[in-house]
Amino acid sequence: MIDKSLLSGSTTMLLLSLLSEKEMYGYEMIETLRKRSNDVFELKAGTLYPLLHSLEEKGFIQSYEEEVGGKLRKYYLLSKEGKKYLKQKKEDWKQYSDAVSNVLGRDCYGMA
Amino acid sequence: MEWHEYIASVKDQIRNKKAKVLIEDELYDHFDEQEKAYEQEGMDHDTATAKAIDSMGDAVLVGSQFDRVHRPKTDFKFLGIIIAISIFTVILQFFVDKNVQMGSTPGYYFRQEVLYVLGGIAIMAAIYFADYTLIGKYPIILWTAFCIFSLLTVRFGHKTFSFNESIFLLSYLFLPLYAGVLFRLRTYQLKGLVASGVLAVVPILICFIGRSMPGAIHFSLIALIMVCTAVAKGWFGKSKKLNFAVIFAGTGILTTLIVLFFQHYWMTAYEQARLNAVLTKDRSTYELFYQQNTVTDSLKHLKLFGDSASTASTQIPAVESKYILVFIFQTFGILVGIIILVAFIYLLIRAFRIVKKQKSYLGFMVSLSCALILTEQIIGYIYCNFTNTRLTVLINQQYFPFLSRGGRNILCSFIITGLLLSIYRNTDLVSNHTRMNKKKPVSQ
Repeated sequence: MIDKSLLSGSTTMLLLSLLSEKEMYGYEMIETLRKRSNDVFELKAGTLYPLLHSLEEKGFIQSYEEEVGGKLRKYYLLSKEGKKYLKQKKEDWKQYSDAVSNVLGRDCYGMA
Repeated sequence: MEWHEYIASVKDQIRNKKAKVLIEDELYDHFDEQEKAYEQEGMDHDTATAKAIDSMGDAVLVGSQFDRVHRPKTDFKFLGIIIAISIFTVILQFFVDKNVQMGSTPGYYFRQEVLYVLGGIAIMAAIYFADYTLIGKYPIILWTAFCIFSLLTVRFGHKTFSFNESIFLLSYLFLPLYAGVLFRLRTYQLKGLVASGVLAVVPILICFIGRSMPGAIHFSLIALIMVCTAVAKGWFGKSKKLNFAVIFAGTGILTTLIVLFFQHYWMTAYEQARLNAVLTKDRSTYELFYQQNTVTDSLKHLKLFGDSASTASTQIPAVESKYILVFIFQTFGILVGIIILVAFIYLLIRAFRIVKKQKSYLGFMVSLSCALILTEQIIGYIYCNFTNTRLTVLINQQYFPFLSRGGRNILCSFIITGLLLSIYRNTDLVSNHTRMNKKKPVSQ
């Protein structure tokens, strides 16, 4: 059963996926996402931070503060629950994207 | 729009005061980094600032989203079990008032206990809404003030035979403040550890002045666990072996001093004789074991359900405060007694769950102190009520949280649980580095 909020929830999956690679701070996440998607995903800070706080509240990510260059920086990392959640989200996404590809593929045959 | 205007709009949407501080810090760091990045790309300062603010998103929308995430949290299961226990306390005190002769006016003590419970709930609510981080902001001032208050209580407070009744429970309330002391002194590494040890001696001395050896024992045990936990977590530096060596050396020296100095120069001849008697006399006949022996007798007649019809519990001196569990088992039966104990075990599980959820050093240590107080009170009390040993006589100045009769005990229990609820309420909102009394970087 695919999560109905899959489309709106894809930002969550992208962020968790970034954090599965390494611990990151907010600005770094936005920049990494922008560069890797060739400027397609340009996340606003005002979208990112409430989402991060919400994920932390749910226990999917954790945070800690570290002093870098004389100022404090808040880093986020994936928790065990977050890893499980990401795995599930990725499976949902694969199922969803396969289904979309199949439908689009049939349309293409029909048109041909 | 300037930064301070933007962040003010964001904060206007957020109700939680602590969340406002953390969010402002985090958003400002992001804004600062973005602004510098734009300047490096060649923009002038004003354009970089305007573009950085624009990239943050709509202030009202952002603030509303944060507000949804940071609604005040309540551990309803923990609160629920406290309310259930409070209701049982009132029922229990009704039976205590009915069965135990405590004065000439029937119902007087019951009415008093009900008022204590209501007052306790009001104090718990006040602490729940208060800012517990004050313990970390002003630890030395609070510690000093509480030491003075305790000394005045010892000097002028009510005494039962030469010892002060209040100091035992006050010794527990030193512990959340001690968490603040450890939190503050941790930055001074080994010196901070030594200073923490020296400060811990003060409540121990006050307990001895108030003639409460159990108070000194209970405080020392929990404070020692707290200090060891702080060292194990690296609060006082990376050389943990050295720190542990300092703790155990300090504890050894202090214990030796107490045994040698206090036993010979501070204890009265009567107290020395009493201590020696407790340690050497035959337990089955000696009068100092009268309480324990009566308890042991009354426990033999317990029923699974209902009143065991034994009058033994009402013959135990101070049954309403020191042997309330025996009273419960005897009045309501073994099954109800076990249910009550299970309820308190659940209370402890919830308390330690709150400890586990804390990321901030202060929240962790204050909640740990509260959870340890409840644990120590409950385990120690069960031990004293259901075993008959020499140690029981030495440590039996005990109160069971919420249930033992007396305003001091009830208030102490509600203060501790109020602190735990307050800490849970601010989980994730207290940073180890949250600026305290500092100027905001940009906002006015």
